[in-house]
Amino acid sequence: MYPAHIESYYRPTTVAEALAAITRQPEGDSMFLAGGQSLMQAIKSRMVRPTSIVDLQSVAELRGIDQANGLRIGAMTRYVEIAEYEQFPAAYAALRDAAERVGDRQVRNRGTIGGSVCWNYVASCLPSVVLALNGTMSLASADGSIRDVKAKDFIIAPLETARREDEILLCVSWPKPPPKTGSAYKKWGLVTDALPVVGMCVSISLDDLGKCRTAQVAVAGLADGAQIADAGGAALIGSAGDEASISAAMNDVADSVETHSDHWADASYREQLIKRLGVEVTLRAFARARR
Amino acid sequence: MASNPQKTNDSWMGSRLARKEDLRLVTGQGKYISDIVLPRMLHAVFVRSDRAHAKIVSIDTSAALALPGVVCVVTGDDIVDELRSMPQPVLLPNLPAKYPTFYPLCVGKVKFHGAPVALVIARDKYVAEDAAELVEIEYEELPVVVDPEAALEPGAPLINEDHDDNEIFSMTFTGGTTQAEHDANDKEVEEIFQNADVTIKERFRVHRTGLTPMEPRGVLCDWSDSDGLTAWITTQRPHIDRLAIIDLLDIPADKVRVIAPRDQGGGFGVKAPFFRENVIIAHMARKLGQPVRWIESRYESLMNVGQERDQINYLEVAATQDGKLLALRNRGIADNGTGETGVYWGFVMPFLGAVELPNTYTWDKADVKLRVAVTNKACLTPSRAFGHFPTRFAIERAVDMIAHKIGMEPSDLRRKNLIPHLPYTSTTGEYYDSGDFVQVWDNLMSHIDMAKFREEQQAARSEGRYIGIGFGTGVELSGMASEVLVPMENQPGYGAASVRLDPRGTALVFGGDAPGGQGHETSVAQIVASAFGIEPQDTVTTTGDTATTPFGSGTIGARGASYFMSAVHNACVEIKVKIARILAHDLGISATLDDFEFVDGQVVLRSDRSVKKSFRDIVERIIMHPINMPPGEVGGLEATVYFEAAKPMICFNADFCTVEVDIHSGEFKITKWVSSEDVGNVINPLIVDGQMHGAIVQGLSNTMFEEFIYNDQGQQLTADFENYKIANAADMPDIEVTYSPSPCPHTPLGTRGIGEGRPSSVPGALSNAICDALLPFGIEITELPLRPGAIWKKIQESQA
Repeated sequence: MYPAHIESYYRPTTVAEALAAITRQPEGDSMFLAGGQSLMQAIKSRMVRPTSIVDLQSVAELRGIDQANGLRIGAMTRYVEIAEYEQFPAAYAALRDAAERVGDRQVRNRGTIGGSVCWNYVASCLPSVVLALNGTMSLASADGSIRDVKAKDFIIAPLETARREDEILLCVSWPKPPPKTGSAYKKWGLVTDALPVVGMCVSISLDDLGKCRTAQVAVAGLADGAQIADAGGAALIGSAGDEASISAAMNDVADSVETHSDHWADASYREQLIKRLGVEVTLRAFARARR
Repeated sequence: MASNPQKTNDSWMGSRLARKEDLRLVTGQGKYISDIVLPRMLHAVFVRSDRAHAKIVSIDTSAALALPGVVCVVTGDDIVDELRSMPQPVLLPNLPAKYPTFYPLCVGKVKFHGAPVALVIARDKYVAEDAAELVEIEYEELPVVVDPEAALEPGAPLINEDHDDNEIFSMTFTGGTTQAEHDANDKEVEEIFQNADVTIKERFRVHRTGLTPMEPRGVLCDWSDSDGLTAWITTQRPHIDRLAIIDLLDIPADKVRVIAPRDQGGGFGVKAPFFRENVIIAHMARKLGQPVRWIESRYESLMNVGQERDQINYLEVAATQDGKLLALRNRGIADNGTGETGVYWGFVMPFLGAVELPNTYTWDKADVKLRVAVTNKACLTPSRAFGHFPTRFAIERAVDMIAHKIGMEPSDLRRKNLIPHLPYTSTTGEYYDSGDFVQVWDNLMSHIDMAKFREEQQAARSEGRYIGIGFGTGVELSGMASEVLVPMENQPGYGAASVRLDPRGTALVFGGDAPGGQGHETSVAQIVASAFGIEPQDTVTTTGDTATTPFGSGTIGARGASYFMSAVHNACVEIKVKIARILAHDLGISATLDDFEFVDGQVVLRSDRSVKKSFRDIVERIIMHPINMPPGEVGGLEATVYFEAAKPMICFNADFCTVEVDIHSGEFKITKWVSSEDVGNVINPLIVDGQMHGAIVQGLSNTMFEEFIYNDQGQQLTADFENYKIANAADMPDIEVTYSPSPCPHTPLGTRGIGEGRPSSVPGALSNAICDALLPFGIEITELPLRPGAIWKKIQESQA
């Protein structure tokens, strides 16, 4: 576990400095380092070989959770900060569900939401959460421009996102939550700190009668990475939050996604986990939406 | 340490003393092999095979050699004429087997994914890693064998080509020594099966799993023409490593010193073999005249060591309708891997596993046969519960299956068949020296009300909840007597210790074993303090250095409290006899050791307690002022004692656990885990508790989470902790360890060595609990690991 040769290391304190540092390097050879909980392992195992590292840890403007205008979570906000943040509206409570169970204590103390969604590992929690919650990713370039990308357009495939290598993810943000909206997330892994074999995130908005008006379901742990299960969202519309209708919707989710077999779970057990977790998580999302 | 409990009855024995070593270990003051840095030290990295079975066509080292900072790149062909091949006699068990001939680096072909093909030595680790990537190896694929049953088929591709098939070892364990005697025994067993009320026959499969010490392996070697070789090795048996290096490198015996660093991050058996890496690092240090260090990466470690279990047992059990076990018949097939590891060669573990198959139960007859197959996998390395994890899983499951078949409580069936009196020789010939299995069992059962549990179980089922209880028992070797260890590993079993008193009244203890976290410094200090009436902080223990310690076969097989500590105690007694003799002379009285008491830093005359001398003063007098001595007496206070017990010794345990299974997901929660232990007289209960907790957790982790996986092409897919999953504290139940000890009659302090085999009653107990919970579905678990997905599938199938 010794990395290939690294020419340079920068630790900027502003986004502008960070972008300047990355553009100074030949393309592809320089990488931003967020919390380092995935990237450092990849570097040490030589899976990736940056010649230059721009470490974002000291960029204060990338950190923090702010609800002045909707919800804005800085890209360098650590899992522990999300897990301990008690003011999430019910609509975005899934973020906390996910963050408080990512990895182990050490990982949560270092790892960041921005690092997670930009790395977009095949089995990870946060990408599915930003998908289900329809987050907006704000990307800054060295020329000063900022572009906003919706999560569904940002998350492309495992280890692949819409971020260009010379762009910094500034934050993930959401508008002020619509009323009667709730979300929840849960993962299943063999041990407490495992990556998700399956993770389920559900966001629900209710109408005045308490029936589901809109819903979005995302699944983590699939061979193609985190993805939205449109069938689940569609099937939940009109549900009163009863277990029968939710269960039927989650059966649709399990049928609509491609599950794979690996040494943690075979395809049929993954489907079962999708159903089981899906029902549990959807019930919780309903309960939160009703509050 | 003010919070420490004080000694009781003028003895530190049985005191829950906080461990002396822990302060340095938890404050970063431990000194591990990576902390040892020598001037001019070079760094070694192995280039390891990415194929499981392939001919080496060519190796191009030119690009690697061209990298600035690279000192040399060595391949198998470079060294075949420079050192001897393994095996060498010191590394051979006295068991007939088809031992493979091999070198530290692969010669001609590679036999498993991860095998060392070349060695790069450079001025720093980074350069060495860079150069290792530049070594180009051309392979020609050979057919890969990863299934042990397929490996034993006639015509299977040959892995160790110096032999004519892949069966490295086979043995019949019961009924005499000749074929005729075996046949007669097998016939009797068959007759029992023909006439038995009830029989079961099942294929039990335990996966490849084992132990993963927190600190991987490492070797640092330094050569000087005057002093020879000094080798720091992460090892449980430095004295054996020393002999192996002497023989393999043909270095004069007085020119090799091996040091196991005082602090090692765990061994668990994994560091007990002699490894090929030791030889090549020592060789290169001699050849280059410069210190060379190799520190194993986690990836290498998971590729090469800590892999055990991996066994199929076709087990049959015959019993009467009222639950008397009659006979067992087993055909074991073990997956050995390549067999290229000194001392154990892989098969010694399944050998012992077969021996221990009868466990704690009485059987009229047994027919036990074992075949061990070479495959294209890493060689098995010993892992705590040496060899008997798979066989104990099989036997404990089989006992429950019989109970289910005849409708008897599994706990009642166990109680009925426990060996009632010791000593006892098992059906496979293993000697159980002492203890009381029934008393330990009854202590366990005092922690559960079975009738009440069955009521709760019924009530839960009516609510759609499935709870269950499972039992497991285990008998373990408590150290190994020479009469066991010489045949098994070609090594002596005795414990050896030197105790030397300092003129200032403190004690130095030297032992040839090499602990890796067991707390020897504390246990030894408690024994010495109790013997001399001094404080535990007044003893310093040195282990692992072959230059200063008497010969020991290593920290293996629960030898600590059985053999090593007994030697320590006896050495103290020998010194006390001399002190008493000289003190009586000084006092002008006629007295021997029995007339004196060593207490509170004083040596007191029992018959007149006003007559006493400070321990420090008498020690200083004997060492520093050896005048006016008794006739024929000389000064100095030091003793080296070798301890061999009269009989091989054991310890014993029984466990139960309760679980709740979610039938919709196959997930289960362990709601209670209780153990009952016969550990003999306890030196330090804190340490014994820790041994039991650790062992049970390791057993659970092996059973539930850990699995080394090779695909059809022999590619190892689990060489990191993302894929080789070890239990977290959060995933473990509370463990309630209870004791029902009986003093061991064969050790001077009544102590038993404990903890080595302890994990192996865990998989049976847990599987039995899950099967008990799922009894309405008629599910019998026969394979590990116990994954929720597999349990869920069985529930689905039972409902189909």
